[in-house]
Amino acid sequence: MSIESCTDFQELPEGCIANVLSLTSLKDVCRLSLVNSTFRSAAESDAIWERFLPPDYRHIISRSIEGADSILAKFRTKKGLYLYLCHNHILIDGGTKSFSLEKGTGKKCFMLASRDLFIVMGDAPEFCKWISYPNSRFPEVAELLAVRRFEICGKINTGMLSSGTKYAAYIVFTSRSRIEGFKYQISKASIQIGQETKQRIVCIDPDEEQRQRCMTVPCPTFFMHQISHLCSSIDNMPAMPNARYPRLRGDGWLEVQLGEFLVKEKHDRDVKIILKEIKRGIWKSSLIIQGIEIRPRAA
Amino acid sequence: MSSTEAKKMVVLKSFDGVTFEVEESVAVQFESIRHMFEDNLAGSVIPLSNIKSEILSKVIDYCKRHADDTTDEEDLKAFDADFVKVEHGTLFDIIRAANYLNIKSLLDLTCQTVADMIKGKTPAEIRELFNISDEFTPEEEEEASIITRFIYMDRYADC
Repeated sequence: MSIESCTDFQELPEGCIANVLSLTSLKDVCRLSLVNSTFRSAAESDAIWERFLPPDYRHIISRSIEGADSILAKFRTKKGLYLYLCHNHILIDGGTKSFSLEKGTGKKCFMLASRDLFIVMGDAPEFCKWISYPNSRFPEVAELLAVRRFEICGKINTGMLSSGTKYAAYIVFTSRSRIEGFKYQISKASIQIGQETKQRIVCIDPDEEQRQRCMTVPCPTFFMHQISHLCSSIDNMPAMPNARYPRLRGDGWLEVQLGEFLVKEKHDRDVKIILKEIKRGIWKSSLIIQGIEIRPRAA
Repeated sequence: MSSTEAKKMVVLKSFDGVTFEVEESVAVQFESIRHMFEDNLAGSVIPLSNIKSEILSKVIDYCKRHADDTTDEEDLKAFDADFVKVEHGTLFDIIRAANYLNIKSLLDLTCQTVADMIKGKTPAEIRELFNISDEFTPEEEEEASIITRFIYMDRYADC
């Protein structure tokens, strides 16, 4: 009488195989599902995908406007839920934030809707209109009709984000026609965590980068004068080449990176994201703000 | 050593009939059979009918070392690293035993060892490593790689 030695990996209990796979990475699991049917069925197991979902995903989903049960009922498997959250977002906290996962890493991404932001004059109907806008994930977005002061502020707690991760904040915006009032204008973006503040220069006008490029070749001096005048108006302002310019997103909106911050393990701090004009008094209009997105910085 | 007399002992019997006398302080790590000796069955033999003596003795070794409070962290790490330097078959047997006895730290250690072996390897390399035959049709392979691409698609690509 003898007991068969388990020389075969496939003869391990499925729970053990799933346990092994969950200790690799998401990329490995996808690849390993190609080995054979044992690997494939282990790679489908909820135990693995539950591990790739954020530890607090149930709590976040429970804040969704659809209700946790209706979201969870849509998916038979945790893999289904994971894939859904990588390619879609859900609205949480009464529709003032969206939640999704970063593809490939499963790290948490949020967008703070413009309703969740402090926008100067945001509650004055003559300056700012709340509209529903096609292709926006939120039911309403802010359209700046005509403002002379431009300041937007958002707040998120690092406890909501994935720990050990470098995040970046982006303002997501668009315009019906042309964004007015930002030509040759630079804005100051700040990220405040506790006492620490990081600042950078950003441009909101989508054509500004092109203009700046032209500036590097000989150009009318009055432009140079204007820029240098603006530059001297804030302390330690980096050279213009460091400024951030708008980029077109895959969803048709524009975004500008406002700054980066590191979320440490067991960190529970408020992060304040502020975007402010530097030169006051210029009329600005036609800016539609969807919100501020906070997502892991691309490696 | 006079102190050994005071210690409660548990007797385990492997599949191939070898008995092992183990201190209760070591055997408590065997979560799934813990109730058997805690329910005052001390002295009686606990049969472990699906673990070979060769594997059981290794598992007991591991648990003895981990029950010893005097071992320092570095030594324990070195012991663990050495412990898993065994043939694949032995390693899988230890995983099965750790799973059956529900010894979490041993299961974590051995599963992590296998995970490290397969990380970053291609399906073909894994098949060779574990001697697995290729049973997928090209269509099945294609379907699985579509899913992989789906997961790694660009950040904003909607689908």
